[in-house]
Amino acid sequence: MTSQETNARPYRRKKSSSRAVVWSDRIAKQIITIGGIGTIFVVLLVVLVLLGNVLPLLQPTRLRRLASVLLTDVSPAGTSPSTSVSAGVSSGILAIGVDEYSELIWSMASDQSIAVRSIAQPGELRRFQPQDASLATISTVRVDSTNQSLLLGLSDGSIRPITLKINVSFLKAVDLEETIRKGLSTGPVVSEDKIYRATPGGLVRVVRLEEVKYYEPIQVFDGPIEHLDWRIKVETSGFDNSQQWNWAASSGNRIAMGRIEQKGGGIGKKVKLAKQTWKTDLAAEGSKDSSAIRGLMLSALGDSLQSIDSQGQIVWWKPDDGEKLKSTQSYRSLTGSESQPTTAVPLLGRSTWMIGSRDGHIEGVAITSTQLGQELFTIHRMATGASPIISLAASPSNRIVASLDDSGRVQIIYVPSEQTLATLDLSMFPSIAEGRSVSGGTPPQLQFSPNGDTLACYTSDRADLIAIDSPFPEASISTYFKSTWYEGYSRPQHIWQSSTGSVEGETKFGMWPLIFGTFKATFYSMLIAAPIALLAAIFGSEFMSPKWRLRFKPVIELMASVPSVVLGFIGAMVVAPFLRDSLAWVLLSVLLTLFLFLFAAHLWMLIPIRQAIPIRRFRLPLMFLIPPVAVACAMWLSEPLEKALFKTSIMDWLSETGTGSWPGWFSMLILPSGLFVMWLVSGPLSNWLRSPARHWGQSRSALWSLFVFILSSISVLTLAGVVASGLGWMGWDPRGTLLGPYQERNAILVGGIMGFAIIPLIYTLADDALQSVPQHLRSASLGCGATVWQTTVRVVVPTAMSGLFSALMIGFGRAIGETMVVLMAAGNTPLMEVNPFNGYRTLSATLATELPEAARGSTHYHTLFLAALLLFGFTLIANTLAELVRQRFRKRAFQL
Amino acid sequence: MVWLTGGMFVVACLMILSLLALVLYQGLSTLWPRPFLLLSTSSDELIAGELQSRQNYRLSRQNLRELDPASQVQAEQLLNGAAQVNAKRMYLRTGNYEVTNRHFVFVPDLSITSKKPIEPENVWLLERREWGNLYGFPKSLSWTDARETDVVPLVRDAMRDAARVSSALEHQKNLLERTDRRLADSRIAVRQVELNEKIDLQAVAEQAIQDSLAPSADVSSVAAGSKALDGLSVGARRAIERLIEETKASSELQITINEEIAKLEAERNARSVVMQLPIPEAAHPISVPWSELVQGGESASDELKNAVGLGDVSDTIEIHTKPLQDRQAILELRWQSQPPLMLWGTANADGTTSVSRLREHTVLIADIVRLVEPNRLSLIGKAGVYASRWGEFLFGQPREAGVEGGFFPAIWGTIVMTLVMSLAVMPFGVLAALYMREYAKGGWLLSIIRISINNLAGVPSIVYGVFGLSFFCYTIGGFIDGGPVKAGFNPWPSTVWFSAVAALAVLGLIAFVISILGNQAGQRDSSMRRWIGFLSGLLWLSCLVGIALLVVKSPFFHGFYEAQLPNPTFGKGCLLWAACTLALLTLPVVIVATEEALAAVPNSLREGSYACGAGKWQTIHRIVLPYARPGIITGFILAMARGAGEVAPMMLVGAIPLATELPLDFEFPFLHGSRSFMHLGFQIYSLGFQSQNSEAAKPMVFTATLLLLTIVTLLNQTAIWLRARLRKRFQTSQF
Repeated sequence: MTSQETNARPYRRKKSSSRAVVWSDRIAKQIITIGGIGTIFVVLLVVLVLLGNVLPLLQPTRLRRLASVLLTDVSPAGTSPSTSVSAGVSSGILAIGVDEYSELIWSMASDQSIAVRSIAQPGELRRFQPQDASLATISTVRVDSTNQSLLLGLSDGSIRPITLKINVSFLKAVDLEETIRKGLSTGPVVSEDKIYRATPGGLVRVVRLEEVKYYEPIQVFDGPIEHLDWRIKVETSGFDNSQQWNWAASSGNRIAMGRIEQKGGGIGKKVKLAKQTWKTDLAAEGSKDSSAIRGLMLSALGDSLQSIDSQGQIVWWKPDDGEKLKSTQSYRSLTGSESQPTTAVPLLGRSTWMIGSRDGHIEGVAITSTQLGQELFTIHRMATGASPIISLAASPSNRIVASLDDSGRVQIIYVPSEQTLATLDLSMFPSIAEGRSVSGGTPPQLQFSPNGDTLACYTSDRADLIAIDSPFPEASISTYFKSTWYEGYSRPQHIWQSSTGSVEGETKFGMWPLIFGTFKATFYSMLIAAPIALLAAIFGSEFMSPKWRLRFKPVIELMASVPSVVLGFIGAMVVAPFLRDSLAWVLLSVLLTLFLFLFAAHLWMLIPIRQAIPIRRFRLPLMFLIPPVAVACAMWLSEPLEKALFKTSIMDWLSETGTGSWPGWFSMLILPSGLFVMWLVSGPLSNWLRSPARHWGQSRSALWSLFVFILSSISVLTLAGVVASGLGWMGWDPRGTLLGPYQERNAILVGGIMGFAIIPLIYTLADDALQSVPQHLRSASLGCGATVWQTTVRVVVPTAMSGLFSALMIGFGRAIGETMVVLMAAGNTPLMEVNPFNGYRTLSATLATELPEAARGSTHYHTLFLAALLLFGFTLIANTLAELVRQRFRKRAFQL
Repeated sequence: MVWLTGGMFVVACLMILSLLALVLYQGLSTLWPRPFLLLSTSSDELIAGELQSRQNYRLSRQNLRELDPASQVQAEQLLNGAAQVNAKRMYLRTGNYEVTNRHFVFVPDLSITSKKPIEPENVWLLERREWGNLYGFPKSLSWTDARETDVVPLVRDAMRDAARVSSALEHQKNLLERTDRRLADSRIAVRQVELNEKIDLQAVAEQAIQDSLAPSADVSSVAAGSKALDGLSVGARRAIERLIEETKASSELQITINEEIAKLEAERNARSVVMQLPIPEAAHPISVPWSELVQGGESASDELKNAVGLGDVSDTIEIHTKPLQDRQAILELRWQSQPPLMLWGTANADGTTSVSRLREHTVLIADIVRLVEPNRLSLIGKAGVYASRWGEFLFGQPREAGVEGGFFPAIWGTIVMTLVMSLAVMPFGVLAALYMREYAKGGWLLSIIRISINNLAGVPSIVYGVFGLSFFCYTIGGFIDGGPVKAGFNPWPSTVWFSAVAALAVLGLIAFVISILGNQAGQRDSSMRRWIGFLSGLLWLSCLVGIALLVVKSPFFHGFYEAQLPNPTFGKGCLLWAACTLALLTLPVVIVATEEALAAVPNSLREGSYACGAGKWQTIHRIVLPYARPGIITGFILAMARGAGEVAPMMLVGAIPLATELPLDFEFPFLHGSRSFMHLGFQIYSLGFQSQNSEAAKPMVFTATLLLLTIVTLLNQTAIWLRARLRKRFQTSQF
């Protein structure tokens, strides 16, 4: 406005704002409103992103019928009279296989010839015949779909391996012939024996069954082979390609197991074969219950064998040094009255045997580790329905089994969680119906593709292909939150083990150990931090002069600003070794510090009040002296005390090599009994104890209370001792449940270190809450003759109670989410033990270590988002609770 | 009870003070040069090293077995039946890693047999670029046979020369790298054309390159003459021409650069110093009596000369003996104008002597970073070494995978990340606070915002990391890199997309018409106006969502870095996303501080401004914001302190243990948002817990801890100080 004064003309005041001002006002309002409301979206976005990554886990498994392929172009077989329950014998198709892209299907006919067909188009592409037209007919077949190979059991008692080589290559479209290129736009093109398909990446995939290698038959028995198992282990190192084939075969009551090693299959090198065979005869072994063998399973290493007979009896065989198989154990599976095994397949990893029964049950029998050693035990039992299971197939890529029952229903089951993921009724398809009917035809069989996403159900003349879309089979409430019986464990347990060494390992996604670890960290941290922070806040707010309070507050705030990575590093690198070397010293220091503070308080009372008031300002410096004195005393005392109590050391006692349980109980009970005696002295007994001193002078009553204090200290020790020996006499030992062997990185350590992060937080909030208690309440209380302490306990703290609670809740929220300290100092072992001297693993530490390594889109990846969501949920609850209480508190404080 | 509460207060204060004292002591003392000691142990071993500290430890039955047999007997006596007993040990840094396979050794006092450790004067500590420290005695120099006893100045000069050569070498390597990068860029350009025009250029390009590399071919002729280029578009032609040009240029340049590099490397490798490491090699028995040797007798010198292969030296040698124990001594042979030779002598049973040479080891001068004579340093010298080490720590590059050398990339990464973060958090934090304080009318919306902010403040930092990884890195970063497909969205077919565009246009038109209607109708009927306002707001919002959906579902966008796929550019953890994640994390801090500052501005000021006829925005812009500025700055400083110390989310969104490139440097475009970076806090974690050699890294980690703590504390204290000043100012300026 000053510029107008210099203007010569009289200024006419403009009544309206200039357009620029109005517009800038409007724009600013819009932008600021959008920015402000945007913050809500940010919170929403966090939740949405977390949820968006968790929700895919709920995706159901979908089954889709891909195609039905006629496998015999000439005429459907189905005239064979065989009604055998397991792998059928007929003149038709005995085995099939699909490549990993589900483009081609090969089928083996009873004359050992292998025909290749495209799934998309009818017609045979190529047929392979064995060079030697062996006369023996096939009695049984076993397919290894991962390695695209099969093992034939022949009726003359020999076995014959066959390997297939399926070649997949990717070409550029320009390199292809014109005719093929044109056809690709509408779908796959079959040319000669190759199948072409355009990929989304712009290349063309060519799949071709290149070669079928028929090996020489190996003579095993003189009768027909009835059951087989077959396992291939490929080891590639450099140019060397060594294979180990393990096989097992049975004929009647005889079992044989063998190993073929193929070494140096490298370029230009000759393949060496080494063979070894072990045999046994159930009848000759004198087995009293020698019913027919119904299935065989080799172990993962190929060094042992399990057989199941028609009664469900499983025998575990191991080869001896000679050529004999020795039975080491037997186990009766399928204990139901009329259940008999119909089919059995090994689950991925070959530790669990899935057995289908006549009454529709599927059992998983695995080797479990118990105190007696390794034992067979039924760890899974699933009921699929009342119809007999006629075929089972185990996925080669995960722990899914597919079952087909007599009613034509296919069920996809994830074995560890025993959940049926999807069901498909195949009974309406003519091929299945025909095969299933007792009148004729082999019963349908199931077979997975090498990567486990296609399931083929085939009869003697036709195969139905079912695409399994199961992105997260492991994900379910029961995997995450129910105890699961994993392979190699003696009972169902909650276990977190997200990565295993190999594909075949069982991933364990039990969330409870992580949740437990999170709350264990929080519990011990709060146990240490909450009393210190609250009592310190009470002292700071009520007993310190404002000048000193303002001077000390930055010190505490400094504590809040220490980055948690620094705390974690100090905790793990400095405090952990120190605590390990001088646990007794530290524990004694804590007790002595508490004792000395109380003792000093009683000594202080001895000072006549006239002298006490002027020297009051020395009280705080004096207090600063006490912890060092206590630590020094503890250093001096701890060794003899430790030796006297625990004979050797507290570590030895904890690891259960020491003496009885008394010393442990005694030291654990000192603090509780101290609190109990304190409550007695200040509560029920206070009037009685004070009555003799009622008319005494100050110094005499101070002496009296010192006497009472010493007496009660002694009684604390006595009480602890008596209760400890009582507990010891009752035979309770804290070790193994409450306590346990000492680990260097443990809960007590983390609790202490995390205190640095939580104490200042709780302190500041509690201090604020206490400060906001109106001064007139204090004045009124003091005016009525109450002491400062009485005012604090009876007036200030109750008034500020909800504020204190919300401070605790916010500290709790911080402790739950704290990452670096627990990551560095908690040992990261996902255990579920309350023992304060061992480690644990929290949700946050799991996220920090595992998320960078989890493959994007895998179950593990999404499960970690579930962990993040849980963590978010816990802190949300804590924070909202704190917020609600604080709002109530604010209202109440406003009323006062 | 008062004492108990006071006690807890005292305990809390002591906790923080002891933590600070520990970090200060450990952090400050790490770089201080320490004396070098020679000791002999009861297993007749010569142990030499820089004395790191003397420690107390518990000698117990368990760790008894780690001792050698002779000291085990002694320890048994000391234990005398007890389970454990306090004992002392030395913590020595032995260095010479490639020879001894260890960096550090604990020597219990029990097993030391020498009466007093020797502190040899002429020992050198060479800090090297690789393999860590080397401790030893200089024996000869490769480039001169200078007859001088004191070779330190010579070596220092040579080091200066070597530094010059090294920097020239570095320059040449940079040149080479730059041409390589240009070549790669032009290849990517060709790939980009391929993707844009959906044609295959690889074969054409390869052929063209073959042609251009043939002798007597020049670019234009090759490009013009190549028939393959005929049918191509201008862009493709240009890209291939550029590729040819770059290939030609780089192949020529490579030859000259490689020649230059070979020359420089030869020069670099020419100068070396032969060191004697304190590790005795094979012993030569000589017939000189032990007693005479210990006294340094004249007649011993000839025998010694023969034994250690100095036969033709005509000088008489002086022998200085330093006895380690009764039967062992370190012999120092001095003769004219040569660095002294160190030997290790032991007495035989028959009174004669065996001498061993110390192991010789050649060190390239160019590999030496710093030469220190630890036992000759005066206090000032020590301070000099200390300062130079701090200089390297603050401004140097890491050596030995970060275990030694500088933390500059980590410090720089932290600074840049924090600055980018505060730039990102500033507008949003202030806007949100302004909205809440100046614009919002209270009610349910405001309370929802408040609850949101409170919850944002309480969300664990690792959850932010998880969010950042999924949202910023994978979704937004993937979108930038490779379009909707890479980000995990299924793009619509183009017909659907175009119809969506049309629908959105109609929707926008309706929204526009309704809001204009609202503006006109609003003058008369307020309830009508509110209703129309609500409707238009809703429509605009759905327009916004629609636009976002169109962008996300676009079938035409294939990302800005499609040519570089499958290597992610922004689709991974990097500086930009780390800064964004941290901005989100610190948003509540800024909002709360800014709101507090805005609330502290007296209402009378606002009212005065309005009274003068200023608009709302004018008032905020001219009066409120300047007044609240210190408070807002306090918020930023607090946010920076929080952000600089936060590590957990960094582990997920971009911090890596070793980065070769800085996130902000002199190369265009200077700030590289897509680079991963090193972070001080993450370095503490990764060096201390994930490196293979975490024991050796411990001292460095303590120094880094001190630095991080200092930065964070300084930032916080500045904020506290500013806030206090601000309060005073407001107290005085209240009407």
